[in-house]
Amino acid sequence: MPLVLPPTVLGFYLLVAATLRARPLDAFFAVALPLASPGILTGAIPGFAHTAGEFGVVLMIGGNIPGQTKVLSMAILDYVETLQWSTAHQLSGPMLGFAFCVILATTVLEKRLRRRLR
Amino acid sequence: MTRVEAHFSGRIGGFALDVGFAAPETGVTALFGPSGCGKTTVLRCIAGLERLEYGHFSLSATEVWQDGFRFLPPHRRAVGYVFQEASLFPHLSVTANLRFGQKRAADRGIVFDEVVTLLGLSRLLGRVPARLSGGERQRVAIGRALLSQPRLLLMDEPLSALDRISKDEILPYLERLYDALSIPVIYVSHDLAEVERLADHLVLLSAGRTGRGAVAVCGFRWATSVCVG
Repeated sequence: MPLVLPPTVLGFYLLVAATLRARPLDAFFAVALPLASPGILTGAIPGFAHTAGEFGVVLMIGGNIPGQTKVLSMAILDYVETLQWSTAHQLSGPMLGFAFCVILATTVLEKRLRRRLR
Repeated sequence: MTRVEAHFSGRIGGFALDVGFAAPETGVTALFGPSGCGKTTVLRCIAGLERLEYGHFSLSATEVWQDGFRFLPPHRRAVGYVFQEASLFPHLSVTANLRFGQKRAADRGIVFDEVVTLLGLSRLLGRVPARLSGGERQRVAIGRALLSQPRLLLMDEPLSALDRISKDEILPYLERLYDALSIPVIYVSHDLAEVERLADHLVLLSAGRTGRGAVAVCGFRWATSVCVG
């Protein structure tokens, strides 16, 4: 998970907060969390986006019921297993586009949040 | 006469510190000595950020922050700490930075508007720290420390990270501040010119030790360096 601030800098700000009467828990919520939030956010996006390509757990829990719990990644898997390569390719295109968008959004967002804090 | 009494001794890393002094309850006491002699460590001990084997600190007979039995954590000590480096919270505006300590401290009559006027901060209130010059940042940091309603103001070379021009800009503010304040200030510095200009009392430090006996320096109202304990 990318952190906007190295831990030592964060530790310094926590000391500063303590000299300003902030109790440890208070300092965590008022200082540490807001300062780490860009990192938490930009770390969470690829984390959640990753599930779009997941199929093992999705199959076990969701059951791959057509029209209900069948997801794109499962559809691609089905086509690959039945050797329908070209259909699988066509479905993989949007998936690739989606992945690109996620990475782009994360990069842009992180840059913006970083700039705000510097 | 009540006075600030401090005595800290112990090892920190490979460095042996044994420092004791008593300072009057008014005015600016400079902790003066060469770089690396332990001045900052003493300040951190007073604020409770550092804990040595032996420590004693009291503001008066009734307000003891630390002795052989008790150790108040930093957030329960009424200090205003001005750090050497930029310490403003980057995610908060100047106003929110100034109010950070004020919101959390028991009111001792240090008023927001007065501090803003005294330090000339009114133009800066809406900005974020990233949009301030080095001198402006340090002025805001001083204001924030004051608004945390301290019984004691600790300043750790607040000017050392600044260039000549910013220093000259901030010094008159400090002088005005010290004249207006009724709380004691401990000011760490290795710059004799700064000490001469700002300090009323002097404690000399070398290689982790305070000198024994009184040390008088010309130009000060009175100067002491006393070992206690």
